Amino acid sequence: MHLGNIIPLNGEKTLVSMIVDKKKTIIAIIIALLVLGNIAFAIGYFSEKAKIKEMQKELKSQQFNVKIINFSSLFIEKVLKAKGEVSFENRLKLENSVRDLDDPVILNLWEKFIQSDTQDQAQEAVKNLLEALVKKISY
Amino acid sequence: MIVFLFGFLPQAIFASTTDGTVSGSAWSDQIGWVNFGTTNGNVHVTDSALTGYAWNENTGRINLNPTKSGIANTTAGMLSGYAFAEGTGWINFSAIRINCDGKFVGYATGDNIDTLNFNCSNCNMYTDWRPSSGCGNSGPQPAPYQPPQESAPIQEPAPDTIVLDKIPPEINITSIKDKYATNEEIIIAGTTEPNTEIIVLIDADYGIFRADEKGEWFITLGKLPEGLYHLEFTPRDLAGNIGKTITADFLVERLFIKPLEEKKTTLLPPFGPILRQLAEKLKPLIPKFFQQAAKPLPMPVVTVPKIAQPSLKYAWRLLPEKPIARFVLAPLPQDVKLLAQKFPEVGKIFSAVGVSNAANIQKIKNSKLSLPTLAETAGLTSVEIAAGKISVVKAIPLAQMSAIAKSRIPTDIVFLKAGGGFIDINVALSINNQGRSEQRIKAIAGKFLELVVKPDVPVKRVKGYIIFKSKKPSGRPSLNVPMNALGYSFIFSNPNIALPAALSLQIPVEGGKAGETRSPENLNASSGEIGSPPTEAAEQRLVLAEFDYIDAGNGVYTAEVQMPVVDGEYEIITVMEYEDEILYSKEIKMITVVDPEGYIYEKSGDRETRVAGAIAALYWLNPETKQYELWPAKNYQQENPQTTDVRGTYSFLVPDGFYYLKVDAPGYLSYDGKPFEVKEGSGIHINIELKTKFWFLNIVDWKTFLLAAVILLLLYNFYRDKKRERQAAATI
Repeated sequence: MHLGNIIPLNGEKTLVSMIVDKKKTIIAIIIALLVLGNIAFAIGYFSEKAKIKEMQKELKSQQFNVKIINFSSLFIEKVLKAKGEVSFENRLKLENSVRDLDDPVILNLWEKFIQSDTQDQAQEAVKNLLEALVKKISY
Repeated sequence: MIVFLFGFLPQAIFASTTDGTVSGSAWSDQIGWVNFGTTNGNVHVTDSALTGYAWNENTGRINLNPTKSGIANTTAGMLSGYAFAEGTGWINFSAIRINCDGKFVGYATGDNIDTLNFNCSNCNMYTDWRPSSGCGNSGPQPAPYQPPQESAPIQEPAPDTIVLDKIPPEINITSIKDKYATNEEIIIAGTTEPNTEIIVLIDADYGIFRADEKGEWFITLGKLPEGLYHLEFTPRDLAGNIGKTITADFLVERLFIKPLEEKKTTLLPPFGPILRQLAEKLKPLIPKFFQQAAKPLPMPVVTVPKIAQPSLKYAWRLLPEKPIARFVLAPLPQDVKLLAQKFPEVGKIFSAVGVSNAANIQKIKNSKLSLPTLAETAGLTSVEIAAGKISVVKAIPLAQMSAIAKSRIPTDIVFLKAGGGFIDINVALSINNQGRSEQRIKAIAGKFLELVVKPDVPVKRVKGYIIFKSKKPSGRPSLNVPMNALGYSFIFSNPNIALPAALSLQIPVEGGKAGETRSPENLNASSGEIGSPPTEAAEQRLVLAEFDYIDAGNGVYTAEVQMPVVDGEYEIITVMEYEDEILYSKEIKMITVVDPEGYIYEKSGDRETRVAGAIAALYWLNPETKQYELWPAKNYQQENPQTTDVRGTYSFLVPDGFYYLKVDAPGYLSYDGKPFEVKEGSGIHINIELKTKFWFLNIVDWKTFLLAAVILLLLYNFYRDKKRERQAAATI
């Protein structure tokens, strides 16, 4: 009985081995795609993170600007344009507002103004404080 | 439904005792006990005031109701105002209040006494008067709330009753220590009504903070120096009820308390720092659920002194007055002021826009003002511009002006004319960065201009110089300046002639005083050798041309000058040398921007080819016929139409009006421009592009044409092949 030539010739591949090879290739391609995808997402993630950091920085600076402007406006309204002694509530507001800035330079200048002993000292302190306030505004 | 109205409805006034007597004393470290309950003092408390006399052994009687002030009271027992005594001066009672038990609490402050303490342990100052609001007094109940009438729009279900919150808030301290160290924060905790505002008094300082929604408060007063401290907490709820003040005392000692250190496992280097860094990095990745709950931080309470600091007392002027006044009230620069005087129209504009001093001169810095022309100032024309009506300001040559008209010409101002005197050139007035006025005109290269000036005092002669200032980047090659013109610049190296330029630094021309006199030392100098100010160095300037003004009669001088052929910025300086040798010469400067002539060109690629022999015709809208007509250039000593030379140039100097240009050239399409308006007497010098009649041939050159032909032939070949194949298939 002749069974036919079932043993493959040298250098030839059976159909099964060919299918297995193909599957391996597909899996390798899928893995490679997934790895590339992960890399792409990671890059995207880090770039977005950097952007968020930048935006947070910007937001912080804007919030600081708003605080500076609020304090400046309060100072002008309640102190420079005062028609009499600054009331207890307004003094408290000013103290809270200047501390809310969390800026040692401005706090120091404010304290210098508050602790002035003479009119000349107070005038000098007002000028320095206003100058510092304006310079602190970032744009 | 119950509606709580906190602070929205006026609270009912229920005074228990409307006129109460006072007993007890207050303590001052400076003057000792102050007795408010003496028989002769007759101290009384009503709903509106505290009256009578208190007694102090050291200072005598203290008047609680002096003529110029007095102590006011409110139904809530809040005192305000001043008492007066000879020895102590004014005493401020604004920080004193009468609590619900009739006890006086707080501190009074005075000019000569630091504080008058009503809170001390032996202070027992009471009254039988009681605050009617804020103490939950029993009194007539308020009328039940009436629902709104039917006619009124009802948005929400009407309430049945109103319950006023009359219960004063209670405050308790839950955490405080008797002793604190100087390096330790004073942290205090307590409870009260939710969202209640708490006024804290720590010796001579006040602070305010608010309890949270649960009514809990947790504050820090920061680190305090050594000493015994007395604290008072007074709650005030949202309805304005003031609760009973609670007090506490604590001591701050110089003790050193070691801050609690967290137990840390020591790791051998180099693992320690690495692992700690890793833990820090991983922290954000750990879900919050597993993280340790953050300890609540105490709220820092900011305190302010009871007595306002001197800088906040309205006793000083906080803004320096002198520099502000110097800036605000500084007068207008002399030159600007003189211009406003000489031209009433300019003065009117200044007053209309509020330019009255140096501070607000910047208002007109960026505005484009133009000085009235010669015809306008001499009263020869009246500008009337009505709706639908075109009015043209007509100028006349100087020779035709009457003596009266000439007498109206403002002195020391240079006016410009063109077109045989029939066109008045407008002079633009602007303010430079130094706050000085600048007169500026626009001219066309190579054109003739007539300058007119009337000196205010008799002159020996009037000379003019054209001086180069700057070259505008035009990308065109500059033309050579004639050698004879260049020669004039050598004159300026001579100190005699360099004088006017140097003088201008000291005597502003436009603002200079006519009677500016020389110093006696300079008078010794020979004629023409006017001493230049020793401090100022002579300015180095390139003089392109020098010219003399001619006396035109009636004290008016004129000069005809040709504008430089190179476009750029120049300065025309008119120097008046007075007959009176005691007077300095005066300069009048005028910045002249010389624009190049317009030209006609044909575009070939990126290059422009000038078109020679083109005929440029200018048409104007005749206001009488309301038709566009060929502009009568002969009336203005010019030609119209103009034929371009090899440079393709043309230009017109025209008065105000509406114009359009038409250009014809052999081999080119005719150019018909759109009408445009000339607002000031100025030049027309637009660069015009002409297109050839067969302009489309320029787009396709012979190479493109050949390529297209080859493609077409190839396509035709393919088509023939296909056709042949189909025929062969059909025959098979």
